[in-house]
Amino acid sequence: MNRLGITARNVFGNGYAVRNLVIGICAIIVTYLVIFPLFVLFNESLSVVPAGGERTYSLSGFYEMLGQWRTYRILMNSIIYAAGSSLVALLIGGSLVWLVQRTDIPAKKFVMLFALFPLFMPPVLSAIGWVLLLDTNVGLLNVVTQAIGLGSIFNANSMAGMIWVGGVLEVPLVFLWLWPAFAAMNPALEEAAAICGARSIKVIMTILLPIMLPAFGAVLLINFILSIEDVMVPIVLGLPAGINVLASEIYIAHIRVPTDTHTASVYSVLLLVITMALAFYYLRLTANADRYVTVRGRGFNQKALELGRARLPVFAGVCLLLGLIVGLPMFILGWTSLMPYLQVPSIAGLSLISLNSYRMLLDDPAALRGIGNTLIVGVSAAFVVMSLAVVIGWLQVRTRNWFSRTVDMLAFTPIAVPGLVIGLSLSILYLNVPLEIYGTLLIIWIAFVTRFLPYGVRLTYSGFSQIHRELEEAALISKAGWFRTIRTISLPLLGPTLLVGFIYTILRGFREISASLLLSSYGNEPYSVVAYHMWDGGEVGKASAYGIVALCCMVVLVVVGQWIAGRKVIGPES
Amino acid sequence: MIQISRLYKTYPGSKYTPVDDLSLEIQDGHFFTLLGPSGCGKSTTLRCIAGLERPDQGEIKINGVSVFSAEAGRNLPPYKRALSMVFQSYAIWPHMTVFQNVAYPLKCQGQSREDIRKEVAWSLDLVGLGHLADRPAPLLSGGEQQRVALARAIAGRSKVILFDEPLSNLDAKLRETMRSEIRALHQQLKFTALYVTHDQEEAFSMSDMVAIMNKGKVRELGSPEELYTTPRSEFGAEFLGARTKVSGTVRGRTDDNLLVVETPLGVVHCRHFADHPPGTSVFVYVRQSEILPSEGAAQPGAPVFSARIDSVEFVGDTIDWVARAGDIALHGRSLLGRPDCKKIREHLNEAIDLQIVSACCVPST
Repeated sequence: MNRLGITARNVFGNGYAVRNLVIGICAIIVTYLVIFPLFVLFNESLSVVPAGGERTYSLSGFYEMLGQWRTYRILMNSIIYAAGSSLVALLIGGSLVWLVQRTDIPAKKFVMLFALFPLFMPPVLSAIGWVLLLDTNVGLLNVVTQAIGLGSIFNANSMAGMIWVGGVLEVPLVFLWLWPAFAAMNPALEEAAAICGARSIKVIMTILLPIMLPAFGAVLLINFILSIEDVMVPIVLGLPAGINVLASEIYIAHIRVPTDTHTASVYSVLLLVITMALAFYYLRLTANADRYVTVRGRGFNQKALELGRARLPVFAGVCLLLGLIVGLPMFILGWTSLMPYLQVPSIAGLSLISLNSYRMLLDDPAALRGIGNTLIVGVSAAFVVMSLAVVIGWLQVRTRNWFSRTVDMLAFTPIAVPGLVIGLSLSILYLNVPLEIYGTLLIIWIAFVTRFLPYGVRLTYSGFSQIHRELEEAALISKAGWFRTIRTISLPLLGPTLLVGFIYTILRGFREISASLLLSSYGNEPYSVVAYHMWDGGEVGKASAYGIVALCCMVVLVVVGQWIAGRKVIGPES
Repeated sequence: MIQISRLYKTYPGSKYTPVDDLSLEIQDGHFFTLLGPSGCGKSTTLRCIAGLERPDQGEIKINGVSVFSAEAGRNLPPYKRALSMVFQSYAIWPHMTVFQNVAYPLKCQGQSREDIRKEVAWSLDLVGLGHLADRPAPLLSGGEQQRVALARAIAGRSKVILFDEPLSNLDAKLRETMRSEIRALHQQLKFTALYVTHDQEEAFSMSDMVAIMNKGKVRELGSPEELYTTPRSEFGAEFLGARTKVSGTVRGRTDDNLLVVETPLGVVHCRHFADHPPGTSVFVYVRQSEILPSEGAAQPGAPVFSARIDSVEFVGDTIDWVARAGDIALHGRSLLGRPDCKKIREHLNEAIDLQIVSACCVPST
């Protein structure tokens, strides 16, 4: 039985016409956004088009790829990079969350804010910041070690450098993901162990770690996915050292002249298979979370573990760590942005401070265009993402059947599709259809909507879950139609959630690079791509200044949003 | 009038049928209650009538208008059905004031600003909340929210109002007050009320007609007093609190239309819903108040027999006791301080003469 009533007769015949029409349109848009590009990608990876000849289908691209030793080396590099940086992120992020949530460490709010602050810095700039710190010649940290006679011991352009930077970039995300898991843990379990006579260290090792293991596993998995699809660190740090990973390989094939779309698509399929498989495993792991992770929900009387004499030394350690992973990259970017030419911070350098780089930004049409493009595309994409998310979230919470599950699954798929792969697929698609979309803002917009939709849906899903269905039903009974019900009851009640989603999407717009890197051409570059081009073109001071400008934009955006919404935009759910 | 004929409702993937071939007719102006244990399908039935669930089969007519018909493929959405509803959670919109909540249905009907103002004032006065019109909804107590929900339901002057367990979230004292207020509103406004509850006392004190539901079917239908005195099924008798069950056989009928039933405890004269010819097997149900320590000799139809008091339980105003005659358990209740109460307590674990003074019977299945 067709419970949703999507048949021609029902759509127009039974008073649910508006509802069914809206849902139908959203479903079609989502299907188009998700299915089409992937279809084109697979099609491309399986086609062989000899010069001037007919298109034929074969697996030759895959045989060729799998027949080269190089492929396995690249794959190995990808796995080492992804696994290493996930572990670094988990280790640092996990300990920070644990310290803030479960111990009596001072200044918790400050630690939290500092740990999350890198979210305001586009990753491309963070990567640049780390190069300025770890470069063998001009890196600040190496200059310091040289000064104390240890020589140059750090190297940004190495696997270790990549793992460190990639891991540090993910610390804020680990912090956000692990927060609810720690908050939901029943402290009675720890207390019971303590009563049984176990010492603090032993409680942590024998109770806390085993209980949190599934949560750690899930975070490791999602970190792994994000790292293996990351393109920024591999091309900023890896390429100069000749360390290639899958993502950078796709990028190189794409920018090669002439563009080797076929090779790029074959590698993309390989990458996609890996991320999809991991995402599937991740969903299974978290779906069974109830079985492992003690109790969900809140209301526990969280008793902080007393650190005792270790309290201040631990706090000092945390400050040092945060200063290193958050403060130093910001500082070096700020410093570089104020210097007329690249140089290591020094007292003498203070006299050289100038706003020259910022003045150059104002004179650079590309720089202004980048921010303008990102704002235009970000705001309009945010609007569409949240509109789609409202309908899909409603559908998923209020009607549970095969149709809503299918739409939901489709809307969720982009989470497992690397941005690079979305970029490549869209470029193949729109280079081959006679629509003038390639090279315009519209194609960036499509990429943004596709990439950010899953996060919007997740937000509206939890938003609708908190609105009792009888509130909507009472409106229907009060003779309001479906659309009026959504407009006058659901949307006002969702209000803060929608604003959070809106601002989050714009922030992601500033941070996004992996899809837009492949889709930008002259004129439609969003912020991150412009910043990367400045770095690539050697304009380090200007790129740094550009980063500081973006940082300010985002902070203002979030503070204003927070003020309007009356709740936290960025930060763990309270 | 609400007419429901042969309604079915199942959920995909669930074996259980919440509404199973249900037919009902609810007269205009009646206070009609669907009573039953949780999960019996009463709320689902109500939601089908409201248009919040789509039944699989059957037809629903409200005031002669067919709002759902599986055959005709018709399923009017809630906003096209002439009814209003009070929800279990009250469903008071938290982003609006009391006035805005009550005005919402009127606004949706497109009434003028002036009419809306008058109508809201009228209905808020009726529920005694005239002074709270401008209060934001989140600042209301549970009882006040309940009243706002009532005001919203009556504001449109609907002829039909549905109530989905509206009192189950209130404390006992408030529940009693609201019960009589809803009843008074019904007397005054003469709407047709369809009320859903699992609370027998609530159902009986408010309703003109009660339907007792179980497993998606109506098991009993009648006025509260009819149901209480002459249940028609085992489920109904037990649901309404008859605790002692004895099997017997019909032997005839008395002049005042009671069935003469022969049981292992003696011959009992029973009230009955349907007539049963001699020889029919029936279950005789005896309420706790219908079984007493014997004061003397047996009378026709009120047998005296010997039983052993197994347990006595102090409840408060009464004591509940269980006696055993052969393998038949007899449940009785005596008012504290009365002579028979003393007698029962004195005979704990001893034999005593008991008498069944009245009973009812239902056909055994």
